[in-house]
Amino acid sequence: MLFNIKLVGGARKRSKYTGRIKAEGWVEVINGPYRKKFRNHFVDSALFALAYILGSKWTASAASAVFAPLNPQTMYIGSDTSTKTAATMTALAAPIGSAPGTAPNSVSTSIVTQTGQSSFTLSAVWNASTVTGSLGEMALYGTALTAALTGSQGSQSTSQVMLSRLSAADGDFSAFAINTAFALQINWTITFTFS
Amino acid sequence: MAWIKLFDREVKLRPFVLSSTLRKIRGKWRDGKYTGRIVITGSVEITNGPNHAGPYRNHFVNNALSALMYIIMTNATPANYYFSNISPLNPTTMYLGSDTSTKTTASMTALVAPIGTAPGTGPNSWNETLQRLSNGSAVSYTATWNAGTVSGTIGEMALYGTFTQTYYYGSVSLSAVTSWGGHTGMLSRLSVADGNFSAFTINSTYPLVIVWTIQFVFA
Repeated sequence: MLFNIKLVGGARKRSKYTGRIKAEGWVEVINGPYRKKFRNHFVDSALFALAYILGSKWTASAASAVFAPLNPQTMYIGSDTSTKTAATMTALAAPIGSAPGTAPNSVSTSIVTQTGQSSFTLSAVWNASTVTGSLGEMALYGTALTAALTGSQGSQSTSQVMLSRLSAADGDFSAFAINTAFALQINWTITFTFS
Repeated sequence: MAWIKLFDREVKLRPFVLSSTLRKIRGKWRDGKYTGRIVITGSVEITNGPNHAGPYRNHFVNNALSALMYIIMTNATPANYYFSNISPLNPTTMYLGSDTSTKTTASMTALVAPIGTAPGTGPNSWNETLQRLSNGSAVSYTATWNAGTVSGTIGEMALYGTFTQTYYYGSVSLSAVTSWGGHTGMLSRLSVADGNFSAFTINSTYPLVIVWTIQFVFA
């Protein structure tokens, strides 16, 4: 009963156009029979990069650069179950593998745009047996502007930073032991919607 | 066991349902400062001589929303060139209009009745400032029309700028990277029809100053 009422109310609220833009991240974790979806926590690097993009003017004309003002590119996983996400956090608390962590074996991206909503999904796959242990946190990494660009400052750092985190400590999900008989797949979707 | 009234109907809640619901509500309150979601809002302040009004909340349109997504999708590696001359999402000017009856829709791309030749009479000066907030960041754009340069009744106003309608991935060619698609258009609108503010007649003996602030905050 309550669940049905909540769905109807949510649908009505989402359909109303207020002109605000909301950015959310959803994380789908798949490990053999395990398949669940959770909401992430963006951190400062992602939020500030958005402002820097709007505060930037690109006028450079020639140089060599990798150019991605805010682009999720990979993911790392960790075992921590006690450290809540803070906006200022820049790395996983206890990465699995050498910091920042064991990179996935493959990543792929997709984008869906429609009136009033756009979604970007980065999918990462760790092949069976490539990562082991208890999964208590995971993070989305990528490039992000660290300052507004003006004039001829057309380049940006190519180093990757943590953009968002999902953690058992925040109550986002329950820690679980990776089933190494199966691949571990994480689909991290960022949506921009009018709310 | 507890009873609550929902839409003229009494609903019986079992203890675990009630405690779960309360826990969720309490969680939302507790996480009010930092939930990990990002909300992007725009507000507008208007000054015309002794009269100051606002801040009023704006309505972003599709040009702004889709550009954000295309930027996030972009990861290009041009061999010898940057993207040039066109920013992927950057407000660059404002225009005014007199319409008071047309509500903003997400697909709107221009003012309904601009003051001056379409897209409108641009401001005489423009300034941008970037600032840190306690829970996020903000960019403010200030447009000034000198005294006597615009006249009439203001019923709508818009933030215009450059935006991309595509993304670039992998190794891209020079022709692609020099333009970001090269689009310029309306990013956001404030209108009387939406109930954002009350129409007013410009006092042309004073400059008209509009400060449009876009905030990125955790909420």
